[in-house]
Amino acid sequence: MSKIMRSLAEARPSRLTAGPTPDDVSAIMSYPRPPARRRTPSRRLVLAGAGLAAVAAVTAAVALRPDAPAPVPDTVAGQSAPSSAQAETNLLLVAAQHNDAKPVESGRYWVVRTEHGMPRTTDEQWLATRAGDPSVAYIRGPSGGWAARPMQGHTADNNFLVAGLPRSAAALAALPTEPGALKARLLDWYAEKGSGENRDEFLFYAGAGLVLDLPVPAPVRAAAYRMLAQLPGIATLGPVTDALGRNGVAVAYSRRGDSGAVGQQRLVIDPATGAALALESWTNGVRQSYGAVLAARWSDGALPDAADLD
Amino acid sequence: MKHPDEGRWFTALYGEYRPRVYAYAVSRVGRDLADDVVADTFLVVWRRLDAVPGVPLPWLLGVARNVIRERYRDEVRQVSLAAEMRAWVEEAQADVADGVTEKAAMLAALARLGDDDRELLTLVAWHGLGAREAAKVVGCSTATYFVRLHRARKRLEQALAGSARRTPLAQPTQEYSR
Repeated sequence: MSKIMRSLAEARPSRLTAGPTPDDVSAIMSYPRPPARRRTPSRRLVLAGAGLAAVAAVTAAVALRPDAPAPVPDTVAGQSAPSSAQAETNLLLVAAQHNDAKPVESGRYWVVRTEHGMPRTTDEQWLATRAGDPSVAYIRGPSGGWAARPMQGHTADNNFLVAGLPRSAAALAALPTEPGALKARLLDWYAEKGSGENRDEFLFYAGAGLVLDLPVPAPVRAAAYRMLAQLPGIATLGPVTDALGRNGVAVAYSRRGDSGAVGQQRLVIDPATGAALALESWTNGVRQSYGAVLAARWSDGALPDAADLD
Repeated sequence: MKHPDEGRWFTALYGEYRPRVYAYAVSRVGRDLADDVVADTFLVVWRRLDAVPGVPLPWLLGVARNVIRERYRDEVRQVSLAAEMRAWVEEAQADVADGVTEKAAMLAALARLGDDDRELLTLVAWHGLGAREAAKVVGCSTATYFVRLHRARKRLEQALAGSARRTPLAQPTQEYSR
């Protein structure tokens, strides 16, 4: 090694030395493991083709539904066209109104069944809201049977992630139901997070989580939709189908990544019910990953046996 | 999907390599963001246990590198890293042992280099990789790596000479960057 490389090696800062091992290992292992990956080189092409087909479908759907929101060109080329503020406001506000009418619920466990991709896996998480109750993720195997995996490190105090910040169900239930106040509370959390993440991006992720799969009272969900409607940088994509083929409408938040690719987060909403269906990650017009919620509900029962899940 | 030893193997990998991945993450994004990068990296490892090669470190640092690129916009990373590098210099200056002046000057010179140069140099000097392995992490051929390392070393020498003459802007790195 040359002299200068030796001096550089000697100057290694002690800040590079890690502290004692945090308990991340069990938390990581509580995540589902996909079956061994298969290389599918044709997938990109297939999806690109599907994207074009989707555009055709969108056009057709709009032609059939004169009252549908004005379509905005899909993002096959990775570019979301600037959309009419009116359309996105309507879409999110209609979703908000659906939630205004729903009752406030709570329970012992928040139960969320989600299909993740890719590769495809399905899990059902039983997230405890009471201190002392364990949380469990049930993972559906390739043969259709379920296996239980305790979610170590998950407690009623940290079970729910709002844009990456662990929160309790009680903290979520106490969120404001007025969009401005909700945004202010989320920005307090943003400040607490203290990372350099873009503020609007944080609000998008937080809002998307609140409407998609976090246990919040319906009025808070309605407020989250209204907050998203006012967020700058959100584009309306119009009618789409999610990864499961369900029809919905999407709003998206895009940013150009460091490598020049356009990354887009799509929130897919069922306009008929005001329920969010999925959050999908697209790069340059290709769906890279998704979480599609199959069911989200409260349960007051005890944890089920894996064998009893359908 | 489940092999009885998978959990044990993952735990062993984690115990052995977490400090190395952490050190790399600190040197690329700073301490504030490093824990998140480490967690995300090992989540990828957990999901892709079957892809971990026999010599895991270069592959692991490559995964961490991708995690960083996907997770943070460049300006976010640069701001965090600039604060981290200031902390290195301050820490070296606060040290009372012998040779600390050289250490602080070296770290200050390193901080003035371009990001690519800094990565090439520290992969070898701080993260214990050979040239072949370091080339794997940054995704170039070993031959290219040697050429780039040679140039980076020259620029580090120049940056160091610049600081010795107390003319901090004597050798702006932009002049030499590709």
